[in-house]
Amino acid sequence: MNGNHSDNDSPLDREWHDNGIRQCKNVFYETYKKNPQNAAALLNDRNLTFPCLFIFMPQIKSLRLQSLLNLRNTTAAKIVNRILRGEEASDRNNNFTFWGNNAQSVLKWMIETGGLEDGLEDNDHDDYEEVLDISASVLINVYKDASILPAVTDMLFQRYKKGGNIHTLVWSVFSAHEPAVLHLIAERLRSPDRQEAELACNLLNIKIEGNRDLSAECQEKYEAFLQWIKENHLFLSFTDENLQFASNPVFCKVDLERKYIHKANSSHTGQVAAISESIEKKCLHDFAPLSREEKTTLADYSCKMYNQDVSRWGEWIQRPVDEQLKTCRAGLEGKK
Amino acid sequence: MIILSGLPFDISALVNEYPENSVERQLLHAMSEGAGRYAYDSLNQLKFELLLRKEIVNAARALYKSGLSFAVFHKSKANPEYWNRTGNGGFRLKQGAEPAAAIEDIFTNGRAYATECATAMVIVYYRALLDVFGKERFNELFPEIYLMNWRIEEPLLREVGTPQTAADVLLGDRGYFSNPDVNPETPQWVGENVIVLPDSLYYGHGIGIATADEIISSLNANRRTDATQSAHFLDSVGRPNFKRLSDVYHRSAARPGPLVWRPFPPPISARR
Repeated sequence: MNGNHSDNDSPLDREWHDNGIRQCKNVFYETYKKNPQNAAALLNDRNLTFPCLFIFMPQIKSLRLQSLLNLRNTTAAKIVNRILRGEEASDRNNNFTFWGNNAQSVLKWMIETGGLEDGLEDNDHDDYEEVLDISASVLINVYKDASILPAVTDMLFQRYKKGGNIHTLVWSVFSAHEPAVLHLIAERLRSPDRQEAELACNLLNIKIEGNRDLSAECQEKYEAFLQWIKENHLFLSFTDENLQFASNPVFCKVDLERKYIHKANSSHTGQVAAISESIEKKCLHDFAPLSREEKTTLADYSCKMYNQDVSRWGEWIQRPVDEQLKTCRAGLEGKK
Repeated sequence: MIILSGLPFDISALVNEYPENSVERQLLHAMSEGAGRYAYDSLNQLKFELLLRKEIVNAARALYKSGLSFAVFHKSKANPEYWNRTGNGGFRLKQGAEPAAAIEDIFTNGRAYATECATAMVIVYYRALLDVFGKERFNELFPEIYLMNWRIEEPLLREVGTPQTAADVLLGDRGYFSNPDVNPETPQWVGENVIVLPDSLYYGHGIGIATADEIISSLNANRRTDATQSAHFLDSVGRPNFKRLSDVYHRSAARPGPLVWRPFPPPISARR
């Protein structure tokens, strides 16, 4: 079960945590026998968590309590039915507009109160995880709700440590195309938990040499990664690769063309263009046939020069590409 | 172009060793006339790749006919006689189960199994290797099998999980149709892993044996409402390390067979 319990727990959550699922269900059924309205009130408690509601889904149906549920619970029940049983899914292409804006807050409640839950019975476990996976996917991709990314990232790492399936969660967090996700994952590099650090390395394509203390090495990698983001955040491009495609997908890479001409990607719309459109076109035309190594070298050099002296860079970028490569190599030689 | 021991290789004699329209013949023509450079240390190495690619194609067709169901990892299932279902929806070979029999069971008892498209590709590879190496050697080489997407623990197969840009797409390659605007409610259709078959067909688990257009249509039917991009075939393919597997294969062939005691005349107890 989720370890963080407080005095604010709903009566059903408290019963579940203190005495287990079976006893919790007994208490609920006894209440129902005396007064169905009171049983529904237990479910409608404002502090009820989603996993607790999920446990009672079969009883809600068999005891015909649907009409007594509040809007939050009614919506959550519809979402669960839609995901697990395809009910009300004839309009699947309408992506949850069926529930209007209310669905967003309910989906968020489901993730925030249930993302770290691991106390469900075995036969409910797969269904429960599937509901959370799709809920996260819809929040991120339909509602474009970036505020849920920290909770989904927590859920992803927790799931991995339990040996559960993380494919959809990984796809969801990267499909947000938010550099903030890279920071959330990079923080795990400093985790004392080895599994967390390893997963962070895998997701960020960071190689660990492994011939010395892991935490010291991860701290170094963390600092290097932050430096890398700082240098490249304007030019990052999310690839849409995923774990269904490859064992070590590259989720995010630097757009070398943009870095070379210092043109920020489309999410940084406030950035002023560094050069005119005609110069940009000529630069990219000459840049295209270069080898990957030459492109990388030139893009890195261009970025550094831009940050040091914009007007010098403005002259340099208009020189022939062969000449640029020469000055770049001479610059690199001089540094050795 | 095919390069053998550093020199361009003329396929005309080798082509005649294979039947008309065979996978091997088509491969030889595609490699010889294609944009890629296919270098081999020996003729045996080249022949091994042709053999394994043919068996990959056969295994893909066989898996299509097996009755294996499509399911997301949360709903995957496997025959518990041979496999343990892991917490992430993968299948791990049971201790004491025979690897060859466990792989074969997926093909003969397909209805007892359900998984996603990537794991199906890995099953295809194992079946092809079983047909190439034979049961006994297969059991020795692959005593532990884990079927779970591209999380491949087996060093001899690791490369199939890391697609690379390829000059030519060849029969038996593992390709991928990407669906970038997939419906967020059905993320399992974010793409389709396929094995490249003859006659411009592909095998993708969940869709079946189909043309590129048919696969793209199936994926496009699972896009979000405001989709702007069509599903499309990527130019990267997954290939096993044919040379390493060839080395293992030819080492197997060269080693002496097990000593079998065949008394002559037969022992008295056997004379009935």
